[in-house]
Amino acid sequence: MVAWTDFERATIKDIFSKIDYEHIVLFLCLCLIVYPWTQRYFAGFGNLYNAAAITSNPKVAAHGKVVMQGLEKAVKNMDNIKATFTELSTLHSEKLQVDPDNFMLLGDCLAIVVAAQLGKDFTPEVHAAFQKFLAVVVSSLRRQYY
Amino acid sequence: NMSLSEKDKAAVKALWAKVSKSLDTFGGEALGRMLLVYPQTKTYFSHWPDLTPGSNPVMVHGKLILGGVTEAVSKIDNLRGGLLELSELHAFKLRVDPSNFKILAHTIMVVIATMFPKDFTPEAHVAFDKFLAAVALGLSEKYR
Repeated sequence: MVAWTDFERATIKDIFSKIDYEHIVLFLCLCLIVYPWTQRYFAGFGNLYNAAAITSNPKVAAHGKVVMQGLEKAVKNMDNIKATFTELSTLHSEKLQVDPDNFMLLGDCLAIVVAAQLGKDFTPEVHAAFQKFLAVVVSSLRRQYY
Repeated sequence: NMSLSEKDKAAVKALWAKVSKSLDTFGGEALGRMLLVYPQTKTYFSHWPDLTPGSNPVMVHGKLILGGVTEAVSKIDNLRGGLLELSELHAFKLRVDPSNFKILAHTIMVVIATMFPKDFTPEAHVAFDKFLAAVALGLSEKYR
């Protein structure tokens, strides 16, 4: 089980209460732009031809929301993220067949978008708490791969 | 090896021109975050009295490292050749595991995002990510 300090718990909840949900979905666009091989998992999403197409693609935005909802579930269940994500892990492994190395790429993109939104408030300590949260999420999503 | 297009190089130079005005604090910020967020990197600095973000050794050394990145920007047309001396330093003296280059690259980009959110567009981000990966490759050149 993951040991969270009071600071980390409060920080994660605080970040998720502060982020601009309308624009946070940019993190998925960013992943598809910066790491274009990740587009292999979004073949049915239409036009991903360039950065402009990706950032204006409604399917990408909608899916960004889906991923954010998954993360919110983790925030609500911080003491049991592993169990919370068992089904999602199996889904990514068996049905979606996503190379789990991609999870941290997406996580790093989210860190960058959150950093841009929070600016000075994204202090080193807040940053560290957030990356720890992302690492736990990624580890839980990797759990059911075999 | 993902090589840099002319468009990438232009984007990197434009971004760095904006960013390098804050080089005094920027490097220390990136290094401090790396040590805090990825504590395994502290193993390379056990000889420092203070590894906390904002401390003197961190700020001084961060500035030094970012100076190296500025040098790399100026040698963007030949990173493998231009970074040979720095590569020898990292390979034979510092012996930094190359997996760490990616880590510092990420914290550098997080700092850019906090300080220059409007300039760090997706297009600038991908070009800069490629550039830092190419720098890492240049630094690894002499390893074996």
